[in-house]
Order: sequence, then C-alpha cells, then structure tokens
Amino acid sequence: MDDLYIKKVIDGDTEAFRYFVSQYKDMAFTLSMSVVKNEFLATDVVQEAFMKAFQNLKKFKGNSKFSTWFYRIVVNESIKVIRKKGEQNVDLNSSHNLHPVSDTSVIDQLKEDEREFYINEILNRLPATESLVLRLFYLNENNIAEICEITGWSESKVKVTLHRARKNMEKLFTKYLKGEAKTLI
Amino acid sequence: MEERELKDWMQHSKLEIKLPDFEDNVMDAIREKQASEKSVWKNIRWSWFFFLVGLALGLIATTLFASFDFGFAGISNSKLVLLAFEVVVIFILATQFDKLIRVTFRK
Repeated sequence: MDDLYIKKVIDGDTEAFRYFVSQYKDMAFTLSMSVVKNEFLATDVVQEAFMKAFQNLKKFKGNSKFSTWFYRIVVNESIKVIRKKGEQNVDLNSSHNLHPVSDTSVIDQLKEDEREFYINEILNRLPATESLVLRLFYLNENNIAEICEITGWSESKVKVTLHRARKNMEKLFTKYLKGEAKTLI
Repeated sequence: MEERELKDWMQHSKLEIKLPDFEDNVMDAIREKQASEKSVWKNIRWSWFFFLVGLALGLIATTLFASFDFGFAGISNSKLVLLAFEVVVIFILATQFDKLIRVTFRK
C-alpha cells in the first residue's frame, strides 16, 4: 500500500501524502516522545519529519520499508531537538524512596488507562535511548537490523541498550509503580 | 520480568497526537512549502533572464565603446578607460554568475 501512495506523491498528487500522515503520525509521535519527553516538542518534531519525508520522497529507494526510513527521520529530528536543549536522563538511584519488590502482580490490578499512564510514565523516566529502543522492539516490533537502521547504531549497541533498558524498566517498575499504585488501589 | 509480560505492557505505551487538526496542519505546511518553492524557482528563472540580458548588453556596450573616440580626465581615446569599463562589467558578471549558480544548485 505504501508503494502505491509513494508513486502517487512522486507523480504530483500532494494530497496522497495525507495517507502517510494518518498512518504514521501516532507511532512517530510515540518514538519522538521517547527521545524528547515533551508533547509540544514531539508534535513539532513529527510535523518537521513529515515535511522532510515529503521533500525527500524521491530519494527513497525502497531498499527498506517506508516506515523504517521515515522513523529514521523522526529519530534524527528528535535528536537534533534534544541536542539543542540538552539531554535529560533519569537518575535511577534517586527516583522514589520505595522498596524493590520481586512480583509484578500489581499491574494486573490496574485498569487499562491506569496501566497506560504508568507504563508511559516509566518510559518517560528512562533515558531517551532506552525508551526508544524498547518501543521500537516491543511496540513497533522492529527487529535488531531495523532498529540499527532507524537509530544508526551498531548491532552490539542496540543489543546492549535493549538489555540495559529491560533491566532499568524492571527496576523503575518495581520502585515507581509499586509505591504509586499502592495508594491508588 | 518475563519477555512476554514486558511485551504485553509495552502495547500500552503507544501515544496519540492530541491535536485533532494535526493532519490538516501538516498538509497545509506542505502546500505552503511547495508554493514558496515554486515562487523561488520563478525568481531564479527571472534572475537568469536578466543576467543573460545584462551579459548581452555589457558585450554590446564594450564593443561600442571600443569604436568611439572619447576622453576621460584629460586622457583622450584612452584604452585605459575601456579596460576599466571591461573590468567592471566582468567583475559584476562574474560575481552575479557565482551567486546565481549557488542559488540554483542549492535548490
């Protein structure tokens, strides 16, 4: 389907580009949020990424999926933005004075929207690289090779970051969610 | 934390752009950009046109001056005057040509 619309846009049908905007805007926003951690900045990044994708669509050779190519633009734009404002990472040791727990049953007791809130809150507190790689791997279901293409990192860096991200996610989850959710349930 | 469990949780991590008219904004921005690019190309085409007209007029004027006998600052029929005129014409053409090439290829 993407190929058909790419051809239409290249042939001069500007309105056909709306398909890509409606199809990829939310995932692009999600990925950008992983990096910039700010709704307004992420919205601007996504808009800028769509503009760049439109302008450079003729250069897209089709060697990879359109989404992979486009998310690379989104990630690059996001990185550009955080370089401008200075990256902010979470300090895992200083967040919340809670006791670590080994079980994860607490999340099962949460409602759908509460789960969504806490998961996104935790991802927001992870370093940009880690939340990005987690979302690409588990949410967007990209494989390691695709993540390498989107981020521009080496395979080993992606694997190491993913491993670290899983650990930090669990660490934050047990610290943050257990304490916060306890008051809610 | 199990792999499957993590994957299940991560399904809740998709966010949505809250702006209802985001799509329209992007499409409007694209159309504006296209319109401004078109007008830039129009200006570039006009710039090339006037550059070529200037080039032709400069060549004609240089040729005409060579056939006239005129003086400047007490120096009659001076080749120096002609040379100075030619230098000015070439300097203007060269700098404008450079600018035009840059702006054309940047686009």
